Formats: sequence, C-alpha cells, structure tokens
Amino acid sequence: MEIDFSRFHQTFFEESFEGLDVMESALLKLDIGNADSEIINTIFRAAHSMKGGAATFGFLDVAGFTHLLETLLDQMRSGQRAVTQHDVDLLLRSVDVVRGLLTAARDSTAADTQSVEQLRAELEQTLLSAPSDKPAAVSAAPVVAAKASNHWHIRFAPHRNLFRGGNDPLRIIRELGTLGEMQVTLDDQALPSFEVADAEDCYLAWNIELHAECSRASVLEVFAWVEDESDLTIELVQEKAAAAVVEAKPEVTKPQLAVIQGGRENAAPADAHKASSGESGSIRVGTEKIDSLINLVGELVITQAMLAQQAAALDPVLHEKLMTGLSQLDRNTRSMQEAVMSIRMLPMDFVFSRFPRLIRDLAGKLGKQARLVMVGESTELDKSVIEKIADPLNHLVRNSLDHGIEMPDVRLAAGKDSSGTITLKAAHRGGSIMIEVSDDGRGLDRAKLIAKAKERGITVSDNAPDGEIWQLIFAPGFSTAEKVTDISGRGVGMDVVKKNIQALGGQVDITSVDGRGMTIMIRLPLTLAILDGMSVSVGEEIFIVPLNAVAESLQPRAEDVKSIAGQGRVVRVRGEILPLVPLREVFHLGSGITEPQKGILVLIESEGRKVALMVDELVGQQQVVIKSLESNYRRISGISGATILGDGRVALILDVGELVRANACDQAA
Amino acid sequence: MKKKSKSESAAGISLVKESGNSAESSLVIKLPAELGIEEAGGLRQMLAKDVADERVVTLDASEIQRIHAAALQLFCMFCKDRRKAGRDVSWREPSVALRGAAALLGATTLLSLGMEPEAA
Repeated sequence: MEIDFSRFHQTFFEESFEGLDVMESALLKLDIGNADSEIINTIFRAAHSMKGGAATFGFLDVAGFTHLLETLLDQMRSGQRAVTQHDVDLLLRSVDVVRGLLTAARDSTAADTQSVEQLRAELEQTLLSAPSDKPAAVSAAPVVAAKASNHWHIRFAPHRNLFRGGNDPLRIIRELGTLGEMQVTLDDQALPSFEVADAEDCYLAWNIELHAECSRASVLEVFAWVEDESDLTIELVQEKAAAAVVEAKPEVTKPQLAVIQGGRENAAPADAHKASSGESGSIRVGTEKIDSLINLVGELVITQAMLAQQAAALDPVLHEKLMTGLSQLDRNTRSMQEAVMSIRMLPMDFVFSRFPRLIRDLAGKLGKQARLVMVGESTELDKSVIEKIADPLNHLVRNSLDHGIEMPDVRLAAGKDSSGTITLKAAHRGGSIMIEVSDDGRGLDRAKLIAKAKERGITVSDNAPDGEIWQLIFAPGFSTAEKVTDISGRGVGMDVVKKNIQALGGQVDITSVDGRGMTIMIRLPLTLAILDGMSVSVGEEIFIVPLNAVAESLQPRAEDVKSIAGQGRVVRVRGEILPLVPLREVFHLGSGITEPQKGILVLIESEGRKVALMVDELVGQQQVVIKSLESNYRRISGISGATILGDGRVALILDVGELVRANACDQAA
Repeated sequence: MKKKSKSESAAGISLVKESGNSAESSLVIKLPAELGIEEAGGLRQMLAKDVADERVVTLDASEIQRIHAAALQLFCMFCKDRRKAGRDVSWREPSVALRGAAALLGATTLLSLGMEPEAA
C-alpha cells in the first residue's frame, strides 16, 4: 500500500510558514548581548520542527538549509555562541530564503537558487568561524546538567500503522536524544519474516534509558504525535539531586545563554507546533468548514427570530412553557452565535507582527531611524477582515516611514529625537474596531496638497477645512512625494487603500499637525457576518439601523423642529441642533409619517457627527445576519446590506456612515 | 567482467545490481540515496527477490542520504532472515545517514554495521 503524502503537504506548508513568522518575530525581539534563552528556544524549536517536517516529506533543500540554521541556533542556545547583530541579520535573511524555498516547493516553481547558495555559503562560513564572544562560564553548564539529570526508562512500542500516519520513530528518537544522554535497545521480537512482512507496517519496539534533566511532560511532548499510535511507558528510575540545580541556577556570573541548560524543561526541542498544540489544545480546521458553520448559525438565528415573531401573537399565560422555551432558545442561539463567531476571530497581532521586520528593513534601506510601538495587538477581529486589512495597513506603514518620518539630521534640527516613532494601535469601540497608524514625522503639508490638487485638476477651495484637504491624499494618482522610491511615492495605493477599507464597510480619517506627524484612523466592523441592529418601520418597510451607531431615540415636540429655508428641517435635542432626515424622503417611499412629532427620531452618529433619522416607529432590537446586497442585487446608496426577517421579509440595513456624511455635510454647506 | 542490471520498482526507486560473472559468488545491491517511507514498498519488492539468494549479498549503502525507519526495518528483516538461513549479508561503505539511523534505533548489531557510527 502506498502512502499518499500529498495530503499532509498543505498542513506542513501552513505550519512551516507559521513557524517562519514565529522565528521572524522572535528574532526581532532578541536583545543583542543579553538574549533571552526562552526566545532562542522558540526560534530553535521552529527551525527544528521545519527541518523534521521537510525531511519527512522529502523537501530536501528546505531540510538541508534549515539544518544549517538549526546548528547555528543550537550553538546559541547551548551557550557556545553569543548572539550578535550579524548572526541575527543572517538568521533573518535565512528566514526569507526558507520562505522562498517553501513557496517554491508548494507552488512547484523554481527557487531562487542563487540567493540560497549565497546564504548557505555565508551560514557555513559563520558556523566555521569560531563563535565570537564565547561566554566564559559556558563549560560549567553541561557539568551542572550532568550532575542534575533524571534517569528515565522509556518503552516505545509503536502500533503497526505508525508509519502510515506519517511518523518516523527515527525522528522521534532523535528528538529524544536532544534531551540528554540515552541508550537505545532495539526489540525485534515481533519482526516477521521478510516474506510475509508489509513494508509499511511497524514491527519494531524500543527500550530507552534516558539521562536528562527534564520533566515527564518534556519526554511526553516528544511522543505527542504518536501517543495514540503506540504503547508508551515512561518511568522515572532515579530522580535528580535537586540541590544541584538550585545551586546552579542563581550563579550570577553564568552568562545568560548558559542558563538555558537549567531550563531544559521548556527547551525540549520538540516540534514547535506540538508545543503550541500541547499548550492550547488547538486543532486545525479548514475555513470553509467554519464558514459553513457560520452560515448555519445564521440560518438558525433567522429561524429563531421567526419563532419569536410567531410566538408574540400567542397568549403568554396559556403558552407559558412554550414562551420559556423560546426565551431559552433565544439565549442559547445568541451564545452559540458568539461562540461560533469567536472561532473566526484572530488577534490583530496576526497582522501587526509583520511590521517590526518591515520597519527594520525599510528604515535601513532609507537611512532613517525608526521604532515601532504596538498597542492592543491582542484585539480580536474576524479572520476575513484581518486578511483584507493587512495590505492597506502595510501600505500605510510604509508610507509613514517613507514620507512621514524625516531623516535623522532633519529631525535633530527640528528638535526631535533622531529616531522616529510609528505607532500601531488597535482597540474595540462598540461593534467596531479602531486601528490607528500614526507617526511623529513631518505631517501633511497643506499648501503642497492644495497646489498638487490644482495641478491635477481637482477642484479644491483654499479655505476648505483640514479634514477635507487631508482626504486629497486618497485621490487616485495623487502623490506629493518629491521623488518616487521603490517603497512608495508612485501615488498608486492610497486610493486603493481607501477603497479596500470602504469595501469592508470601514471608514478612514486623517489628522495631521504640521511638523508633528499624522494619524490615520481606520474604523472597521468586527465581523462581516452578523450585526446587532434596531429595526424601525417606515410605512410598510422595515429598516435595520446598526445598533452601535444609535445614540438615542426620542419623540420630538413640535416646537423643537424648525424648517430652514431651502435646507430642510432641523431638530433641537437638549440644546444641540441636528439635521432632521426623514427616511421616507431619503428612499422615496410613498407611505410613512410626515410630521416629526407623530413619528420617532433615531439619532445616529458617525465620524463625530450626528443626524436625526425620522421613522414611523421602533419595531425592536435583534441580531441580524448580513446578506450582501451587492452580490445579490446591486449597490444602493445609503444601504450597506440586507437581511431576512423572522417573517421571511427582506429588510435593508442602513449605511449610517453614508447617511451621516450626505446629510450632515448638506447641513454644514 | 561484471554484469549490471537496473530495475525500476513500483515506487520509482532504482536498484542497481551487479554480480560476479564466473563464480557468481556475490551479489551487490546498490541502494539509492533516498529511502523515505514512500520508497519502502519498492525497496521491499526488490530485496524480496534476494532474501533467499545463495550468494553473499553486499548492500552498497554508500549513497544513502535519507532513510526512514521503515527502510531500516526492512534491512533488519532481510539480514535476520538471511542469517537464519545461514546466508551472509555485508555492507559496502555504509553512509553516515545509514549508520546514524541504525545507531539511533539500536540496530547496529542486528544489521552488522560493525564499526561505531558517527554522531547522528
């Protein structure tokens, strides 16, 4: 029987790309000269795991290359080599090369052999050269480890089908060997004669004596992938002399890296993925499965709404049990929806983590100095949104560094720190997420923007408010960069950035202070699938107002409503004058209340501005499943989507941002 | 003069065999560089023909670069069966990869790989 390895390939590639991301972000966190042993271990584990996988699946060039990385990292983690800037740079470039090799292997394309060979030579050269700044006390560490080791007896008897699961005892035992010293005895009792043997059945078993300073968990971790496919016993024969370790650890003179020996438990060089799956107990599920689950939950929400609507007509006293059941169904549906949605949620770190490297490389290329501050990386956002926001953010960060942050001498002359700061922030605000990209660079030049706009034939008033001028940078083909670089400045991109964000139902705002920097604020919906909405009626129609945009609703008194000649009506709400927008007029509906004091005003807010929407009545509040209007019908101004109500009718979801922009602007004009 | 024959297995691995022409006293099986799990089926097929070969079988393992425990297990069975029947197996230039794998799996003695392996 042949084993189809290709089905494992995708998982291998996914895990390896994740491993590279882990390596990259950990490398950037490494403090030169005072490296954290745990970070080095993390990098080592990622490289080790990739090498193992690549060798198993026959990607020999990847395995060969990562072997060199692993050797270098092993020297670092064992304390034989101090962490230098040169080594970190080399490792970062190696990460790129491995990424290229993996991409080539995945897509069956040719790899860039020239850069691979070049870097391979560099790595070999580095490995050959005596590890610089070799920590003096390093030799003490193995002695301490040897004194303080546990003696484990391990019986590893794989089931027949172990090979078929893609596992190789060789790799497992090799990993075990990295924990300490071991003696392996082969048990070949079960070996059949060649004639009757199946090449892909495993008949061998092993008895292993391991002397290592590690816990049972570390030993178990090595067998994590084969636990269910083997009979495994791990016995502690002799415990280590505890005092030896206690003595060894507080040794102040011991260099940072040598301490790793004492931390072997965490340093178990098991596959990084295994480690993480062990910690968080995660499984890998295809996104299409999650999407179909979300769809089903969406349908369940609609069914639940339908039942609730039907039940509203029943006598609650006569149908008490049914009512209790329905309210329980409501609660459970809501919890289920939240739980299912949370499966799709990923932390912003997923996108943010790429920027330290980007800034480091770009700053070097541009001769600038910049540091990156990230706030709220753990803020969660729907996977589909996160994937689509990555490119626009990338563009904004590059732009900030290229155009915003000045050269060090210019900054010093302006009385600023020679090193610029780019800040990435993410935070939840109601049902949205706010992402900010800010820098402390030169800010936008109002005069230059106006001049450029005129040159391009864009009509703009010299007295236009700043906000309007800043928005010019989103105009197609607009760039004020004096010279075009390969980083940015071609004027393509900012318009695409805005379009992409708007396509996600988001908004972009800019603030800028001349000489002090600029901030780009992006507001995005948390998810593109479900919305908390207030249903309102106008005549026969039901509209959904996104709840996070609703400030309040009220019934106005006749004296609070005023007409302004040629500009429609306004309403005074606690001293604030707001434009009054009757929905029946916006959507040209034939029916609906015309006198404000007979209807209800729903105050909606967007971008710091408010308008009062006039509707007939408030129907209720419910979660609605968003269905795209564009893909099912076409885009309609003022409408962001549609949903299906409990009674099967379609209700339109209002595009609050657009309604406010259109009507608040009119008012201001 | 030596005869050479090359055969393709189902798994696509090629094993080159050569044998002495007159006395026909030995058979050399040249093993390929790649002996991963995907090659195990093919390897078994090839070796199966020679388990009962009366001549001394020499496994030329000089080119083995990558080896899976499944392949090593086949060598164990091959050697064990032949030894039981009083037939010899010898190795020609076992590569570092083979010796390292055998040492790790505790199979050096069973495979008669003799000398101490280098570090894996």
